[in-house]
Amino acid sequence: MGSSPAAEARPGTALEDLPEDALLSIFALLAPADAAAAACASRRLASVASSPVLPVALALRLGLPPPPRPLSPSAPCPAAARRLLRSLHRLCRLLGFWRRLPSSHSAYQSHAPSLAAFEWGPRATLAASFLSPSPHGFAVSKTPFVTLSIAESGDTVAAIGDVPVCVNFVGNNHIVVEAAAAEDEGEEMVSGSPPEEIYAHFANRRSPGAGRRRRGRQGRRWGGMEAEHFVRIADAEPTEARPLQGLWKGICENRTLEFYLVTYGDIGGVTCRRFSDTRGQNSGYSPVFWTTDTTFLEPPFSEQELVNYSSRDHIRDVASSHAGTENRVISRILCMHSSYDVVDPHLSTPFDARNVEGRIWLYEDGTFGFGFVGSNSIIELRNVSSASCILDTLH
Amino acid sequence: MASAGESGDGADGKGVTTITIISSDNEAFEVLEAAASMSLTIRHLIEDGCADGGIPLPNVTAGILAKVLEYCSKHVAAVAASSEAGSSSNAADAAAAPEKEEDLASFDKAFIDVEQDTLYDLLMAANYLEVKGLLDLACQKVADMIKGKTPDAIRQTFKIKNDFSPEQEEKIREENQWAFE
Repeated sequence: MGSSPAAEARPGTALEDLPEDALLSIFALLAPADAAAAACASRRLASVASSPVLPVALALRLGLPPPPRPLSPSAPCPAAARRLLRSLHRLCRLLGFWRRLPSSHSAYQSHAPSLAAFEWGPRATLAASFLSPSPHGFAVSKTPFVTLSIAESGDTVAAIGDVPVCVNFVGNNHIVVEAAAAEDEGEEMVSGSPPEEIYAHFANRRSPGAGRRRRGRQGRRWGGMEAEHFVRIADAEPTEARPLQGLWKGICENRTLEFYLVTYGDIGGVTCRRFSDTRGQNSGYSPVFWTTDTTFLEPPFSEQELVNYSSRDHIRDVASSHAGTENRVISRILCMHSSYDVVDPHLSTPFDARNVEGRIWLYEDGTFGFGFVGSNSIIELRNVSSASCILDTLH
Repeated sequence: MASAGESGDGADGKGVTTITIISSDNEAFEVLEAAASMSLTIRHLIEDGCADGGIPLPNVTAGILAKVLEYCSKHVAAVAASSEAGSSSNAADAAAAPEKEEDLASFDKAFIDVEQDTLYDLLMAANYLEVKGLLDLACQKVADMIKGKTPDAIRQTFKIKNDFSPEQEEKIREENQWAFE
């Protein structure tokens, strides 16, 4: 940001009177719809919104390298700047974790991973990878999936390896990844999702990839790829108000590492689901526990609670033939009452599936463990990510 | 050499260096050098030895300079407290770190809750003085005032005149239609 000769606003200064670089900084903080609304307010603001420097300001704010220059840098093109801005915003919207929805394709693939992460890669690319539990403790394996980048034209390009693909939004929390068409005249590889395309997607979903191939591309398949649908995992990390929320990993009773997603309901209550493989009735996303009352017990804890905790085995290491025991410092305890048959049928402990009780032990370091009445174990969970960085990855 | 006043020992027995900064209306402010150095502009002046007898800022009035220095002092103190907690083996200090972050966030929120004129003054002063945190805070405040509003509401909030012809307004809407997809 360059310095301006004026360091204070004159009396009666309006927003539009602020220096250009200040307005660019403000616009770089706005979502596309808000920037568009501001652009429609006056000519001055419209000029800032279409400035070729705005994508640079946005990239700077995102910590990215400067985007590629427009094709004719000597004559800055507002349309190119808009394309670039649109691409940057699109990439930002993809950041985070997504859950793959089961499809006829993945149902036949054993252990098809269903958890995907979109992160910034080198040189302003966005790299998506599937996360899988590794056989080594709490480590997580990453398998490359889609890579997105911004072309010189300002458009987004996406590929899986060498295969061009399209990544389209259906609303804000649902994306579709599918093979791109061959080059058609004037067709963008990635487009928005006008209503007719959304309906076409769902109407043609039974035919693999047919939705976008109705314009004469029938019969052409790129690597046999079927459209893959993903839904956004919002709130992947806990907060002070919602300490159980987020994506977690833990070693379950069969000594394998699994991913768990804990969400808070709009009307209260907490639900935990496990990302299993995509076979089976629950299609890769099976409920583990559900409880309506999220009031924690605070210390000092009763003798009964302490004995309940200390008598259990902590399932920790896949390599161990028997679980170790370790008593960690508990900060709070939640009593679970899942009065519903929403329980994991794969858990080995027999109990009344319609009325499950258990405990969640929240530790001082922010992690937690859970266990059920009638079971002698505690499944200890750790964060999958912290400050949006995936932890314990294997390369 | 910078005009550094040795203010004597701080509470921890260490010496502290202060800097005098003079506003456009000739009011002098004595602040810790560390706080003043949150402004890159001031930091460069100190490093270049241009600060004898105080650093004059002909473009910043006393009222705004006081607020900028208040911001810098608060944030420098927070950073210092955070490093102490980090190096402390005291669990209570470590546990108190998130609370102190929350205090700073509350301070920032209350600090930037000002009239529009003052907000623009702070924004321009932060821009001129290159105080990145304050500039980001002020820009975010303005952005938050724009969010969720229609063009008419934005004009009303910021007292902006609609200087588009109907044809121009239509053209601008079409060009920005992509933003609503």
